[in-house]
Amino acid sequence: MTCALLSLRDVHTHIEQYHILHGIDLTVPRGGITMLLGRNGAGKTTTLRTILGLWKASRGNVIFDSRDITKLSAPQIARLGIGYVPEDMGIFALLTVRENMEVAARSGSMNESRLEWLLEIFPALKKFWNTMAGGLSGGQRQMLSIARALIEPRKLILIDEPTKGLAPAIIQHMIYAFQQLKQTDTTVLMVEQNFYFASSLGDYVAVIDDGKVVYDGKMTDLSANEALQTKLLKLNFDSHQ
Amino acid sequence: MGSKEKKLLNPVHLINAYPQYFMLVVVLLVGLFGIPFSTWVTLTVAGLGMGMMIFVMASGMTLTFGLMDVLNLGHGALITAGAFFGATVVTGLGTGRWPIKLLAGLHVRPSSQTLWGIGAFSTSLVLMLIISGILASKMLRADTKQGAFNHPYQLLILFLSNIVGAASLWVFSGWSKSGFWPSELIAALTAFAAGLIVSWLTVAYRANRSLPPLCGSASNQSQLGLIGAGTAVVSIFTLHSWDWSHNFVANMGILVPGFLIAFIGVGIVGYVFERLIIKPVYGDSFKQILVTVGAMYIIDGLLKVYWGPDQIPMSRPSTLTGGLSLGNISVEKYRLLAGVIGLIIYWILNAIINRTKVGILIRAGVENTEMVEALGYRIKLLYVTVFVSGAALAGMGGAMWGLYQGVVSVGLGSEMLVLIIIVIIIGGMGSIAGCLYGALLVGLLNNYMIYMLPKVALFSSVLLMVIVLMWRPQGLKPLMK
Repeated sequence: MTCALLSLRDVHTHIEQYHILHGIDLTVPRGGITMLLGRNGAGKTTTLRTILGLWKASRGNVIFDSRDITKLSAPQIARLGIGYVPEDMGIFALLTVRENMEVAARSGSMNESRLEWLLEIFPALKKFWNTMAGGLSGGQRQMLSIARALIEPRKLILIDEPTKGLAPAIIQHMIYAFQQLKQTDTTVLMVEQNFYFASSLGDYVAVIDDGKVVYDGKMTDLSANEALQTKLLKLNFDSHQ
Repeated sequence: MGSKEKKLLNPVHLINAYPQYFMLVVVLLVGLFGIPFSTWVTLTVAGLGMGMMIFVMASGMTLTFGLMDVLNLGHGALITAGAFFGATVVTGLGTGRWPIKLLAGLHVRPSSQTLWGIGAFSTSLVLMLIISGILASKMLRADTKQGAFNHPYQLLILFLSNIVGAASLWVFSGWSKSGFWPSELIAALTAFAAGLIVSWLTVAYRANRSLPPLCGSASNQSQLGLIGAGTAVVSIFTLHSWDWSHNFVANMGILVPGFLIAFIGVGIVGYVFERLIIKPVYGDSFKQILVTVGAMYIIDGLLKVYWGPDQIPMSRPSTLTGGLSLGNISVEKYRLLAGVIGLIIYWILNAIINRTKVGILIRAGVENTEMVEALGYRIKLLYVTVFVSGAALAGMGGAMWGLYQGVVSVGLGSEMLVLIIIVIIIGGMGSIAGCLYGALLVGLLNNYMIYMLPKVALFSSVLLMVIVLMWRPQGLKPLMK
């Protein structure tokens, strides 16, 4: 049995008067990619932000690598080896691509071989190395955001909707990039709305609805079970009607 | 002609792309057409000098607001504190009287001759370091690995730059006139040793952004050997009292410690200020205004308790009073010096903001504080660093301003606060470059209007701010687009 790198136990999160997470129980196995699916407003982004400490859990525990990180601050949690790629990409538009990468290299300087590996996966970053990040296209910004999270080895990367607003060709490139990432030791917890993308890459899956995990298991099981897909993901369509 | 070239020649586009230069040119031309040329030169230098002093005072406030969203109305009190610290050192050094009670109680009263000597020596050293450092960093190639010198020509350039540094120290310090040959030897050795340190640091920094390990290579070891020899020679002779002439460098030997102590002293005050006053009110602008205004009264009160309610004279040393003349154009010496010092500070701040990791973090933090935290940085530590640096700059600016006014009193900083707020609004909140241009514009306009339309001079800065805000509400050179 694969041991858990990250577990959330009965995690509740309140944002002002709104009760967003209603007791999340989630286990992220070590290694591979775990997909977090669910409709808009289900609490996927809130889950990621609570793990990273950007929002504080009002109840419950977040255990990372056998350590309770519930009460730690975001910088402390990040330093334990968690990288974050937010939904809005979070790149610094007034800094160059190089400077964006430098900020992420907390140890001081960027590891040259690791940087070379990243620039091979995302060649556009090499082309625009000394350009202001604000001048990049959406797809290039997303690549920068992901590369920035990977410039130093991390135990866990939290990624929030990496394919949002991207063209199909870029999404294909993303699939290739994450397949490369799978060959390293990095564990990924990824929020996604694109089921094709999720099923292409995910090893494990958890589905959130109304602030609770309603399903979790192997991605292959969910991909093979169309009835289950319809039942879980049909929630998406109902909520939009 | 391509569209890009057409755009560059389009005046409207140029003005919108470079509003700060446009405004500077407009103000300079206003003065040129309204004032006789020789007077215009005098007033322009005066205005630029005044502007630079305002820039030094205002730079801290704009950084604090830009990064931390903190409106510190106690900034004026920090300026006043700097002026008092500076005045204490300057008057103490100048007359050999040591007004600090603790030292007086310990009967530490070095003679004024020795103090002037130390001051002159340290100033010469700083001057020499700047010259060698600039030469070495400009001429050495960035491909030097690990701080070692791979090419013979680099060693030659390093050697030459240190000779130039030694020569400048020898000339400026007045040692060349002393007729005492060991002093010339000391000058050369000290300059060489100090220049090596600077060159080593510069080369290493350029090579891989961090210092190489000490004694990492043969050339490093030889450098260290020379540094050690030079330092030993210097320390033997430092306490000896030379017969200094009252030349420029000796006079600077009063000012430089004064400014440095104002910088460090108010930096410490700034740390206490941040922990006690600012930390509890992050994110609440209304509380910040109340609390910082209250802190201003407290600091002003404490200054009165220690230094008394009367004004303290802060007279300029002999070589810095009066002006330099060229034909019928005369230029005030002190304002020229203030302009140069301000420019050096701007250059250093710019280099830190644009080329160091801390600077990158500050710029990133201005844009997206949360992401900086998510990347593992304790943004609050950055806040403290920026606030303390801003306070230190305010202190130094206060010392410079006090010296310019000739007299230091408790209201000094509060008088400047309104002007400083105008400057950072004109320039763009959070922008160092914007702060510089805003300060220069305010300084120039103020000096021109005093000559041309004295009644307008009183509110010329406010008028300038209104015009700029109507045209560009974000300021002339804002940080955020």
